[in-house]
Amino acid sequence: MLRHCPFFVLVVCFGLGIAGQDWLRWPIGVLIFVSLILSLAALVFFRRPEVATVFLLMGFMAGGALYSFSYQKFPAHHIYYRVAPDRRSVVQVQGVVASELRKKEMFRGQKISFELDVRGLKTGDFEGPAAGRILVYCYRDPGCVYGDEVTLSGRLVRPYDFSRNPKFSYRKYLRRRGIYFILNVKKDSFVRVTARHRGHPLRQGMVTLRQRLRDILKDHLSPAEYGVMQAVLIGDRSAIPPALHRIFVQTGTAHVLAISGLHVGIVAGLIVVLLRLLPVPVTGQYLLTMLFLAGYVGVTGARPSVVRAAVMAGVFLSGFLVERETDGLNSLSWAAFLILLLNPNALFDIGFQLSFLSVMTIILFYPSIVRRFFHGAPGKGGKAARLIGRSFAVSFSAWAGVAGLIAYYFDIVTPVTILANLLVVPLMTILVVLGFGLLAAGVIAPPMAHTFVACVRVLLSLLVFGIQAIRRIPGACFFVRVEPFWPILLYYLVLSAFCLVVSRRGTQKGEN
Amino acid sequence: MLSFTRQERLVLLSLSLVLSLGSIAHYFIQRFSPVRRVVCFTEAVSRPPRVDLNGATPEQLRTVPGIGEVLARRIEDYRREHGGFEACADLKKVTGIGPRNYEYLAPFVMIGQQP
Repeated sequence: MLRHCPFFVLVVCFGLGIAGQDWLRWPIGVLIFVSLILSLAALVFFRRPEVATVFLLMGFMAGGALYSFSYQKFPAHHIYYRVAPDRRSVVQVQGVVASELRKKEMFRGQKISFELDVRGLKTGDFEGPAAGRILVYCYRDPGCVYGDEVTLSGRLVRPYDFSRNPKFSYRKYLRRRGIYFILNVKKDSFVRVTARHRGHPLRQGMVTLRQRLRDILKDHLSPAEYGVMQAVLIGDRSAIPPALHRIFVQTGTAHVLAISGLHVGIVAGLIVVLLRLLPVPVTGQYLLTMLFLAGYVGVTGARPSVVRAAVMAGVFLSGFLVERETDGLNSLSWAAFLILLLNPNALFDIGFQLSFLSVMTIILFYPSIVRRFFHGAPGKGGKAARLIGRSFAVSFSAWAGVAGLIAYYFDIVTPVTILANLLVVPLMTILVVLGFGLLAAGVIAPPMAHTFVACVRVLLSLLVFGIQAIRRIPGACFFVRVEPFWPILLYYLVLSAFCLVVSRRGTQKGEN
Repeated sequence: MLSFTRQERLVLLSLSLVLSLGSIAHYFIQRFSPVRRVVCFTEAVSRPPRVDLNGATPEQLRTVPGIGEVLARRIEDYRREHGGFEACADLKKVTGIGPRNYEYLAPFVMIGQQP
């Protein structure tokens, strides 16, 4: 396997370098020295393949550490260096709204949060240009949208950690997104919009389109239905009712609420089918599909799971264009490498870890499970059994890959996931298709939208009824407490060993 | 002679299925309230059930909108110090829950089986 997927090993080493730097925090001098030594060693031993390979892999590891270090270094006028947060003093910040506004109902009124790209700062000691990104909590309506230039006054604080759970640190989570401060803007604070449309034009378009799609869904669906369909179509899970979300979590099917390979695959399939109705040559169809997928990634907020799926789909389609076979593991590695280049801290994002682990175990385990257990008998009965068997194989492979991490992060083990996915995945596939139909009808032919709404309503009720029934199965889920990480590490070491054995047997069978 | 390609047939068949089944479903949902009640199952499940202030675990308390980890801990502390809540209105005595916040939480809590 490793011989045929060298890029996978390189990306793993790159990721280990990023993780190592986060843990060891070596200074820049050490990183540069180590990288140079390893690169020189690879050059010296160039004619000895095994030795050069080892040094190259270690060099990639050092490269990952160096890249991660340099990514997190700020310019001199970054807000991190300009201000010492003090709850008592009021500061004035000028910047551009860099994200959509999120509204949350509180006990008294509402809280609106958004990210701000800082351009200027005024404190008691300093007034002048500044850079960086902060999170703004506004307890009044700021009257701004994405891309507006605003001036706000408030109190600057460091993000706080409410949770006693050491696995989740809100401060670390924001720090990994480059946010070191929160600005609290009270009801009576100064807020002024000084200019409009200062954001990136492409992103502005995506935000506008996203809002338009949200409005179509809100106009036709009930609040709970809107929350679910908004999540599976445009990647915003903020409106899913907590009680409903809990049912999905306790049956291990919460993954269908996050846009990932399933949804991207459906979107790609829909686009290809629709393009085949038009007089577009095959090459053009694949290129347009890749373009639309890139747009879809933008509309859904470019989360790691969506980027991963879109890159893999893009590599797969490119394989058709250049008439080359694609390799799942290499495609996955490309997706991981791209995401880590864009933001090395994505490695620590739970969504990134779950998304890549699940796909990796599907790629590694699924062929062997199918070959061993589900060849099936010829005839219609055999075909149906093979289909169910293959679905089971995918579900089991994915569950095996993420069970350890889910137990560690969320303190829950859901053996019933394997069964639940057999119901949820096909229903969710049809729901996603109907959802896109609803959006299209909402734009092109609004009078037709009620037929799609009725179908969505019936299917969604069926889905929720089904998973609620599955949740009641004894032993469907149980709560665990995994405090140190070593049991999880042991689980993945055993899984990796099993993976190597399975892959070696597969290779031997192929050679025979 | 009119004929459709495989893709065209697939798209037209799917569209006609959605239009016909959707119209039928829409009619029955609008016309018959029992059907509407069955089909609006998602909404019914999404409403959080009332939580027993004296019996709920911290995880169950956190299912109430507005009660996070800190408030759940304070409610548990209050239960331990005072032997439980005699009425839902006693929630106002918990630090961080005043009269106004209590109005917000009242629809989601109960004592025993009584709201």
